[in-house]
This record gives sequence, C-alpha cells and structure tokens, in this order.
Amino acid sequence: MSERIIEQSVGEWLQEHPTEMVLVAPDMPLLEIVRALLNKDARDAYVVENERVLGHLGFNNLVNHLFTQERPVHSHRQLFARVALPNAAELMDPHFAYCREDERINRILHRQLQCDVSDLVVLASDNTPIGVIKLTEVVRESLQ
Amino acid sequence: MTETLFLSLGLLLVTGLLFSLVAARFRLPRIALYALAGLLWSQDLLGGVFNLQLGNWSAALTDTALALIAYLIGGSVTARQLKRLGSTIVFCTAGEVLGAALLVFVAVLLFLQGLPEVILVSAALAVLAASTAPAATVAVIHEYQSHGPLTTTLLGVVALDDAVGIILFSLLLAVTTGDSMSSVISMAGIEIGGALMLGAVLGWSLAFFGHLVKNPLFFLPMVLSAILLGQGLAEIWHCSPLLTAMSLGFVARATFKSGGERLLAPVEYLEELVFLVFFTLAGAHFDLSVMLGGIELVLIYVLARVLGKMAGTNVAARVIHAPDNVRRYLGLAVVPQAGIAIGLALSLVNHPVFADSGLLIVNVILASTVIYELLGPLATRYALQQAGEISRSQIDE
Repeated sequence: MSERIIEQSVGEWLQEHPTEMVLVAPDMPLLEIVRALLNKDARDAYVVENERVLGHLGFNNLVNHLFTQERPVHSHRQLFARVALPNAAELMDPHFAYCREDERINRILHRQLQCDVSDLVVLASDNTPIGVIKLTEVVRESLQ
Repeated sequence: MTETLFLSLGLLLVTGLLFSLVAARFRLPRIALYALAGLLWSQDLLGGVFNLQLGNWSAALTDTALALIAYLIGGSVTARQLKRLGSTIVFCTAGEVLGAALLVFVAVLLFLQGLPEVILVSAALAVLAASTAPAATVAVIHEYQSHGPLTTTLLGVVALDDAVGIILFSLLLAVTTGDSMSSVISMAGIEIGGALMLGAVLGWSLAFFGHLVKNPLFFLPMVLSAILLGQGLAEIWHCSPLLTAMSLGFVARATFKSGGERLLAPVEYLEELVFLVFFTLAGAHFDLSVMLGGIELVLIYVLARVLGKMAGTNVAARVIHAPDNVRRYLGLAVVPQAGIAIGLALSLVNHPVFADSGLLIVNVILASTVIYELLGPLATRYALQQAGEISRSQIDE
C-alpha cells in the first residue's frame, strides 16, 4: 500500500472519495435491494432505521436467496426462506463490521477482508452512517 | 482386531465416503450407499469377521448428531416466516403427518398383535413415519425445474414436517417414561416444558454472547458448546434433549435478529457428516435374522406410510380448500424418507424402554429408507408431472 494512503484517515479518504451508500429500510424486499446495489455498483447494503444502522446485507447472500430455485441442495433454513421469502430485516446480519472517521485506512483493510465486506460503512460518533470505504478503490489507489 | 471407538468410527466413515464416490460416479442414491457401507461392517459381515463392536459410544454420537440437526431445524425458521407459510402448508403438513402416523400405528398394531411391546413398536414406527427427506424432494424439483402451487406447497411441507416429527418423537419418549397416567402427564410436562425453557435460556445466552464476539471463527465453537451444554443439562434435569436443541436454535435466531448466517451456517456445514454418521451406523446395526424376521413389517410400514400420507393430505387439502393438484398429488410427492428418521430410530437402540425392540425398529427404518430412496424420487416426479408442474421436454432431457 502506498505511503500516501497509509497516512490517510478514513475521514480524509471519504472527502477525496465520496461514495454513495446503499441504505435500505427494514421492510424492503430483496429484489429492490439487489436493484439498488446494481444501480450504484455496490456490493453491500445497510439496513437503516431512525438514522441508525441495524444490520448488513451482502450481495452474494441476497442473490443466493433470490435464485434459490437454481440451488440443487437446500438446508432447512434455505427451504423456509424459499417458501417465505425474507425481507431486509429478516436476512440482515446485525453483527456488522464498521469503522470510524479517525481510523487509518491501512488499519481497516484487514477488517474488510476478514468480514468479507467490500463497502465498509463509516459511522460518525453518534453512530449515524456517513459513508462507505470501497475495498476496490483502496486497492486501485494503492497500485497506482 | 482391537476394538476402539476411533477405529470403528474411522472405518465406517471412510467406507461411507468411498461408497459415496461410487454413488456419484453412477448417479446412485448417496444415502443408500452410506447405509451399504455401514452394512459391510455389520456383525453378519466384516464386523463379525474382525470382531468390530459398536459400543455405547455410538449412542453418544447419535444423540449429539441428532441434537445438531434439531438445533438447525429449530433455527431454520422465524415466527414471521411461520405466519407467512400460509394455511395450506400448515394444514397439509398436519394432514400428512397425522395420516401417516395413524395408519402406520393401526397397521403395525394389527400385524404384530399378541406380541410383546406391540404398542411400543407401533407407536415408535408411527412417529418415525412423520418425517420426510427434503434433500431428495429438492433434488427432483431442481432437476426438472418444477414450479407451481404443488411445488411451493411441497417445499413448505417437507421443511415443516421434520420439525413436527422431532416434536412427536420427543412426546413419544416423554410418554414412555412414566408408570401411571398421572406420572406420564407430569413427566411429559417436565420433559417438554422444561426443555422449551432450558433451550430458550440457552438460546438467549448464545445470541447475547454472539453479539459480543467479533471474530466470526468463534461462532461454531460457541454454538457447539451451547448445544452440548444443553444436552448435558437436559439429561440431568430429565428434559427432552431434542426439544432443548430445537428451542435453543429457534430462540437464538429470534434473539440474534438475523438470517441466521452466523449462528446456523457453520453448523450446516456439518450436516453431511451427521448423515454420514447416521447411515453408516444404521447400516452397521443391520442384523440379517432381525431383518428376515421383520421383512413383512417393512412392507407394511412402507405401504401404510404412503397410504397414510396420501389420505392425510387429501383430507387436509379438502378442509382448507387447497388447489386440486395439491389435494390429489401432494401425498405421493412426500413419500421420500431418509436422514431424520434413521437418526431418531438409531437413538432408540440404546434407550432402556426400547431395549428389546430398538434393533427391530432400526432395521425396519433402514430397509424402508432404501426402498424410499429408490422409489421416493420417482413418486415425487410422477406427482409433479401429473400436476403439470414439470414439462414433458424436461423429462425427456
């Protein structure tokens, strides 16, 4: 990773790389969430209520639920999900990874990889979401 | 040959896996080949030659494996999803379970009348008739790209009836522990009510600690620890271990408020191992003399279960005014039966109440499973085809 990026804080990075977050309501159908992700070229959506992030939804997990009929093997959980398709709140992971504005970019890279999150949400001190750090952009900048 | 737990288990698992390669190569039912691998190590074959004994360890292994499955089934659904399943799926599940249980009970009772433990064997087989084989059903639906009202109802029913099967089985064990009617009722109350409460407390605790853990690698050990603790406490407090595990899974997911990816997915990876254990162990319990003596019982069980499922779904579908195709063909589509039934039957082998009849029950379920594995998918395909939810071109392919 280049020296310039290592020295940058998440807040500074966000100012240079403003990225639109995909924030969805708890009762939003999965199909609409996938469309929103595709429209914004994003991989991760965050379920929000009263400006607070409730949970995270990954693109692969959403697609896995939308195309269940293409899966030759189902667990009981997947069977129920296929018959009674869940909404955002039912599918989200409330145990999501996030970062703060004052953290260094190089410190959050491992978190993104460990939690398999491409668009890591940045939370302000009052826990409201203020942006996302895109893994692809960090890598792209580093390689330049 | 020296008798050791690890050697016996290792031989069973390795043989099962090798046989599964044969199953994959020749497109044979994997489950049946697992059972065949276990059968190779039964006392009538290599197990007798090498003096390989299945000791008490197999009981502990079966109970733990069953607890894992019960946990997964409990955590597989949320209260909201249950509401959304709709009355057709719920009624038809009740119909097929009750129909099969009732007809199997009566048929076995009449066939074995006069013999000792007739009520016990009839009740056990009746309860075991409830569950189906979601894997075989989903495989047929996927292969023929079936879709329509029958397909949707079928998916819901096969998901739900394993849970009902485990609940009925727990009730059976609770009822068989008392001496008098009053003690039966009080024992059943403690076994079931206690299990639900114990599972709820453990499930809530699991979700609470789950929120504190950041490293996703810790979830599998956490869940396994909670399940094992639940089994231990259930044993000490005379609660149903299966209902404890089911309740644990259900409450943990409800409290964690998620799709269950962290709490359930790591255990789902163990499901194939569990079925490998179930079927190879069941195969190793194969007893030629018991099987030959009970061959008529196997046929009666298979026939009564199929007819019971057909009649039960027909009546339930009429009551709920379900679509005609669901009423006519759902019973035939839910014929396959495999993993859960074998696991539950295996757990009876070392149960004191079933000391004399456990082996017979396992052998009946093992033989019937092989029949269902071969004929069940054909029955499901026929039902879906008759309902017009599989096109002719897909079958020809």
